[in-house]
Amino acid sequence: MYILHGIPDWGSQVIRMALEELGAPYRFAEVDWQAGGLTTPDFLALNPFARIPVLETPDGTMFETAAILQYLSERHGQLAPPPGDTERAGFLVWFTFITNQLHPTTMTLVHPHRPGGEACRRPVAEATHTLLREQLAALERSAATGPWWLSPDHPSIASLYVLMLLRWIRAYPAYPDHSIPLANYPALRAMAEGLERRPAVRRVLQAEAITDAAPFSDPPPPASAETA
Amino acid sequence: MYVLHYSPDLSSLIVRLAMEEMGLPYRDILVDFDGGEHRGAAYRAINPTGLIPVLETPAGPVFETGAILLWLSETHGQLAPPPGDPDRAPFLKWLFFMANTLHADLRARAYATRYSGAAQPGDETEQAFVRAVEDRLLGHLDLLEALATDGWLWFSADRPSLLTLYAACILRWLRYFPGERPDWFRLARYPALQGILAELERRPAALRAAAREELGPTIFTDPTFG
Repeated sequence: MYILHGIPDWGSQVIRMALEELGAPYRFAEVDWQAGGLTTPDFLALNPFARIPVLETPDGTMFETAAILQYLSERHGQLAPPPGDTERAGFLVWFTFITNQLHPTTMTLVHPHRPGGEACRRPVAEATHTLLREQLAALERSAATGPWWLSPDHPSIASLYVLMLLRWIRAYPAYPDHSIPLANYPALRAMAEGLERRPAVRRVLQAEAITDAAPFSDPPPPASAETA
Repeated sequence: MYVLHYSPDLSSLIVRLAMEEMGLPYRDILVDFDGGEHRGAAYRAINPTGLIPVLETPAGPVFETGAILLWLSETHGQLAPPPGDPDRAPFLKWLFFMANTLHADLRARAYATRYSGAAQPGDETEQAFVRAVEDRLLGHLDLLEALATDGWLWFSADRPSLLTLYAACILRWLRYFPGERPDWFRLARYPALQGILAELERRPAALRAAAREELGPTIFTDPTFG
């Protein structure tokens, strides 16, 4: 039994989707961040960086989204080409790209004050918006070559990870004009449309009280965003 | 035979150190970073992200430093607890911390003008950004120092791992940026990390890598930059 410490519609979502796809038993321990739940002594003992997700496992407590996903896929032998597989190298490349580049850039689009403080909030957001579109274009080219681990009909820890980030990129930018629709990224859009219909993904959406019709491929943008 | 596309003292150094420690045969090809060769069509045909390093392998080109390290270690069964080992979980946790959090902040510091969106290099926007990044890095390093005293085999002075090699390079590069606060980072504040770095740089593998890239004999504890 795993214990996932998380917050609905935050970064724990991809771990939850992976656990549901694996059919692994787990308990979701919701962190009440508004009441300071990320900085209690108990939580800091789990993750000194005061961040979710945290997963308690038979091999100890884990943090770092990608580390948790990698561990789950290795332990259950699912959701990624296994070590030794001919697709393993390509998979690791893009999985690392997602976690090392796409994820931090997306976080900055949503929280542009975090890297350098309030003083450079807007210029940081502008630079990030530009960089993020370049990264999405690179990922789109990779998805368009058709690997199963970035496809609509066969989930992987890479595609589930992208799925969550696509929602944030469209729905939660700090500046509404930075919301990025998927019109220019057809392979990623098809992937999101396929995955968001999966029963495991629907279970997570229901548990997190997300009722959007297309929660990942086309979630509602921030209030005053362009709809183009 | 592996082919490493590198530029001296960039992230390719971590991959070179790992391959030297594993004793793998490889050839290296210098990329003219200052001349922008990595942005050209020939390089992008191998690595579409245009970043250094890329490693050509029998399984195709592999890029993203963390991906290369994990793939090499899986393929050759070295420098990391293998999948299934009880130490695999904590090892992965700290490896991805290194790649995603520490390395990402180092990159933000290195390319502060671009990441801060500063109108002018060194303007007030960029200076505020740099101070924030540096303060965050120092917080991370305190936790890394604590990890180094926990006695894990994969983060100790007794033997190298992907994690110690990665950490050593990042600690080297933190000294590359004197900026407005030349003393913002001093290795002596972190004795356990300093001990790991001192052992690592004395190893034949590190000495070979340092010689090839002309970085001097104390690449981690007392780096000099050309």
